[in-house]
Amino acid sequence: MATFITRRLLGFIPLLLGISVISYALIALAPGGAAGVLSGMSRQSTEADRQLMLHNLGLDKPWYVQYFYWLGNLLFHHSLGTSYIDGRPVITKILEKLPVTLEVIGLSFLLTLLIAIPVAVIAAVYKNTFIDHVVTLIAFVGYGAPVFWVAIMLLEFFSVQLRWLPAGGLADMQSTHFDLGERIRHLILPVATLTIVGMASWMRYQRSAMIEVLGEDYIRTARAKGLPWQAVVFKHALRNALLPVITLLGLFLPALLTGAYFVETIYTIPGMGYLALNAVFERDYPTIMGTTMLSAIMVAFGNLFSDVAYAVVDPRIRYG
Amino acid sequence: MVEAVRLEEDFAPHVSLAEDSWRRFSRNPLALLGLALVAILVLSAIFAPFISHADPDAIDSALIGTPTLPSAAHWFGTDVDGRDYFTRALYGGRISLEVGFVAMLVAIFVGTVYGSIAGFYGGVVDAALMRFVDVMLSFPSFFLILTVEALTNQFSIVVIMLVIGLLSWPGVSRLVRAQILSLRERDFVVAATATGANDRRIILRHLIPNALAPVIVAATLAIGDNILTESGLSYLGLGVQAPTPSWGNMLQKALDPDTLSAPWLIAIPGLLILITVLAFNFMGEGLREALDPRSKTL
Repeated sequence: MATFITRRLLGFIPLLLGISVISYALIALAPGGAAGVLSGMSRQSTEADRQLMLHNLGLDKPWYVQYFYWLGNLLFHHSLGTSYIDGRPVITKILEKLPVTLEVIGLSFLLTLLIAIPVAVIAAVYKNTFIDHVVTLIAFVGYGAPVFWVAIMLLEFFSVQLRWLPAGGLADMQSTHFDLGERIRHLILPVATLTIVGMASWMRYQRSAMIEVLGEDYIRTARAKGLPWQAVVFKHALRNALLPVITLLGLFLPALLTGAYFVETIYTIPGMGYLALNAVFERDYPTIMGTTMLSAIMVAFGNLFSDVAYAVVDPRIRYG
Repeated sequence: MVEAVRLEEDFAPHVSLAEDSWRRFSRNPLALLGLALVAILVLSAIFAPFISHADPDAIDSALIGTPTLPSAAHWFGTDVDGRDYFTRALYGGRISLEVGFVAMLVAIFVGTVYGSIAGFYGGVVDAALMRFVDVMLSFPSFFLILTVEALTNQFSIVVIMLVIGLLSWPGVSRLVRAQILSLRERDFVVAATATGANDRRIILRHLIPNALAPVIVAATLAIGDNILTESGLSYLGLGVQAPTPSWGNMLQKALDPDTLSAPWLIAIPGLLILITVLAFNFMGEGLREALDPRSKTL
């Protein structure tokens, strides 16, 4: 097991390098590139000013040269550069915004599991009954609905029409005014949005995994030796049915991150998504690079976690 | 002659692969529902000008400023600019389907070529090509598409199709590669090689046609995903640009403070996206079961 994890972690280094090269290339090579950075300059600026500006930003060199500067800066100075917009270090900007995003993602993920697993178990046990059909229908709706639409609908209904909950304005974690009640009220709609969407795929996978396990011989054996039904469902079946679903964790993260970006935009939450989206609109290359890398690294870690978790829970799996 | 007829009667009637698949597909109610919905969506996109005689951009100056509720004259009401919402939804669907379909073709083409090369040649070629795919699959694809689209700063429909298509093929290539790897060692490929067929012929004639079933399924599901991506981009203002309607930019428009009191303007485009995505998913899952009965639907 230890060798397996070590090998996977070592394989991570080339993957991270690959991620950074591709991010850099895609950002640098997108048509419109450097010219866009200069669009903020005043009209009176001369061609020489423009060249000087490009030179100062290092944008006059080919992208692969810029990339090595960027990589060197990261490795030797532990810096992701400074923002073109406010001149602050990208790492500081990201560290400011990350906690609130992790808070929203973490809470909704927890809620997703707490709701989706029991519901899926019930649906599987009562397969093809009315309950199961209702669960399946809800899962389909959550699966096909765009996350931003769910967010807007909740906002429209609970904030605009009913005026029960705030439409936005969650402060970041560093805020001096910390009021737990207010914070919860601000978090309800964003977390609910991500939970509704996330629950859908989780319920679908968990339900089919559970149905398959319930058809196994060892379940019949457990029943035959007189074990109570609850014990069989929760101890024997659920444990085995959780196994295939664990691989979902890694696949789940990209969707959750994308969802968080939309939710942050709609509910004006000052998180990673907010930062990333603004950086994209302002063509703030160092910040775009930082946020793109970070989301890719999170996804890559999610995949690694899935692989390792899979090997831990299923002793039959041995990666030689 | 008589004996020949008798002999044929001893065999089960010949059923082609297509007939057999259709028989399984048509026994699946969700798949049929998906197919019917897709048919309705495609037909209404093609015949949009005949279904609504209104111009999607035409403004009824008497109705500017306040959205109106759905009525007999305006089935989905009118938006804040006094435009018929039904007509806009109809033409918006046309754009969404076009983008979804063409981006799918781009992704399937690139992914199939890439995956076949990796799977067929194996070894170092495969390792190098698939490492690149691993990297690409580490990016949350929507965010990558959004970043490239925003930096490109060109929002013509062709550019949107290309950006979505060119950044969503890695999943397809992994699928095709796995198929090719398992097919490569089969006897019919060995036989083809023995008869002197070159690589090109083996890939195009023997491997790809046999790997097609999962690709068709992936293609169907991809149309739904692409429509979701396009609507997200358009919602953020990075996709189809006004006044051309798309379900995504209709939602963006409906979120205007002026129209927040008009919930139907928000509900309708979202429901249409939802129905479309589900339709392609039902159809895709139905195709999966029909084309490959051994496969499991997760």
